[in-house]
Amino acid sequence: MKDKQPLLKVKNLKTYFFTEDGVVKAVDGVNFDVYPGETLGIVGESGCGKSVTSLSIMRLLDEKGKIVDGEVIFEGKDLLKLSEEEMREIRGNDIAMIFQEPMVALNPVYTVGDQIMEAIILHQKVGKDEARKIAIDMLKKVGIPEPEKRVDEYPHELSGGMRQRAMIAMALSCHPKLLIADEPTTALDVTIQAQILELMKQLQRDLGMAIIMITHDLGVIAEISDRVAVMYAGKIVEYADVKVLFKDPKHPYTWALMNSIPRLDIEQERLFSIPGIVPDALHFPSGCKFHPRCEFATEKCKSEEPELIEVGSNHFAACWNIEKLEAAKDSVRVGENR
Amino acid sequence: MIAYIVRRLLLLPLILFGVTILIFGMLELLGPEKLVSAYIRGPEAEKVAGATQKIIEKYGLDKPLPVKYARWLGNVLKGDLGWSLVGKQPVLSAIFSRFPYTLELALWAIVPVVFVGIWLGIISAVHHNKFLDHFLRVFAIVGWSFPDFVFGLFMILLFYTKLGWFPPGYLSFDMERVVSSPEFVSYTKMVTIDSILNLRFDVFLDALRHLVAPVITLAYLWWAYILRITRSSMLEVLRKEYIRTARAKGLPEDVVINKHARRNALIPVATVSGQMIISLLAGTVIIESVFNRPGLGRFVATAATQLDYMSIIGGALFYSILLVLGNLIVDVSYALIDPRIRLQ
Repeated sequence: MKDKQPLLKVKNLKTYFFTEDGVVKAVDGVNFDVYPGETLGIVGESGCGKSVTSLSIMRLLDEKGKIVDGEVIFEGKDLLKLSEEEMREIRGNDIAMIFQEPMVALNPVYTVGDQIMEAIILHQKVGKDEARKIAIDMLKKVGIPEPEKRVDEYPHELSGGMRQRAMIAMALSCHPKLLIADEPTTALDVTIQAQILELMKQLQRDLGMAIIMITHDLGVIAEISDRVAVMYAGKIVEYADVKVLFKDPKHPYTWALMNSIPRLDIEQERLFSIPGIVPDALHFPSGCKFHPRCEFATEKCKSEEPELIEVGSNHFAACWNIEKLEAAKDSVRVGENR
Repeated sequence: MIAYIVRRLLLLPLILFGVTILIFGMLELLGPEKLVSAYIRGPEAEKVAGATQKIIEKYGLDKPLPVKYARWLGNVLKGDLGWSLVGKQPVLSAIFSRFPYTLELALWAIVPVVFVGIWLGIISAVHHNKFLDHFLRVFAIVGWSFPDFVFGLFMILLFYTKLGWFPPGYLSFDMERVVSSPEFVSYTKMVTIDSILNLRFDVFLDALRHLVAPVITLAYLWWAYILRITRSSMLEVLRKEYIRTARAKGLPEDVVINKHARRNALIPVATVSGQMIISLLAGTVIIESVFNRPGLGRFVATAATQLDYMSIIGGALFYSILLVLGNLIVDVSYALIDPRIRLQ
């Protein structure tokens, strides 16, 4: 995959929010690549900056949020340097987005068809009738029954799963090269979640777009991603192929996350949880931002922030104490066998 | 949509029934003696002997309540609302001859208020916390806190006494003579419209000149109100996720604002506009007095001071019906704006 040109290259992205209480460094120097047709998962707890990263790529931040540094190179162009008008050409056309709550992400006063057709008419320069045909076709593709009827219905007439399908139809109606999915399954029932993920995988095979899947759910990541970036407090702390990450996490945070997943194959008295809470974005700790919650933290962690270093092939982690983690993994494995 | 309107229309007779019960109750509170004397002051009394008996018989005043109500309602439906002491004519004609003046004044105020108010509110929200927003908010607060009669007097002071631009009253003497001449055909009784239909643009301009000050007085308060409601509702809507969805589609900002945000933001504005239309129609009492204009508001106010019961009750009934119809229009406009309401 490395020999291909990345579709999207995010370099040292820094997005700060200038609030009355101070500067919130929501995204503080994030780097990643997305290659055509692949799925990059971005995983992290709420407030880690994963949604802000995606909104920065789309340049859809509210007025308090500012991208203070970095580049977002999409097909060779730095999106941050485009005019607002050039950016609009890209939004919805080359890069599309779906959101967490299909209930509130669709406009309640316009029909589903109206909202899908809008993007088609805008970007594909076709007439209303043609756009309607494309919209119905898209609704069929995302598995909405009776699309000819549904196209004239309002969002409140559809169920949650159907609404998310309609959102996907809307996002994919202009065949974007990149789809950013911000927690697309979080608000849905578990069975519907599985259906939506399956649908996204199938559409990715059919249409060939790349996906950035933003989620806090490691299950979703395992299901759909090719590669994963783990974010913590505005930074990527680990970055690897999905199989490698699940098998051999190199960052204590990732490792702790993995351990918090309930497992059927081992008997557990109580679920493992990471001690402490996500740090307040206004008062991030010095050094490695994870150190107050990290069981391997040393003096160095408190003062110096680790950079991402290559720890395996296509595997990066930002930690001073990878050896300590490895040792701990062995002891846990011993514990499992007991 | 049609089903919704039909359902809403089916409710109308029920509401109107309730209204007539209330109005009839007011009438009953007068007691039989006052009632007879209120009715008898009409022309029947002056010419015919034994008028009291006739009145009692006609309105069933000696009969039980339901019969009385039925008689009264029957007469009301025939257009008999009694005799107006103040107007020296039947109450119904007194109302109908004065209402066009009020309607004209209200219409001139409503149209700019609704359109300009909504427009200013949206501008204010889009420029949130910038200079224009602050300016419009000060404008709104001044309008909102100024009592209308004080503002009206201020308008007279400034534009009539000081500048001499906009005189009070309804028309100047010359023009009034034109309007009352037989060549001038009165189609709607609203002089600004009639003058255009008669191709008398001098009359039109004169009428307009007399309208400016009262219209601004009436409009300012509601301008301020509609602006504030639109602004806050718009600010709320602009934070909604579907606005982000619209932007993520690549829609230009004016489409995001004027299509996706505005229609959602108008839902609370529709409620207020309904109230506004009704209170502008009913609440011109003070403005008509301050600016010395004829109209229904002033008529009812005069009737109240002179204990002209039939006119008061007739006016109350007329305003109630206006209110019911106004609410109907608001409900229908809700449904037009918001598809979720059509289902209920």
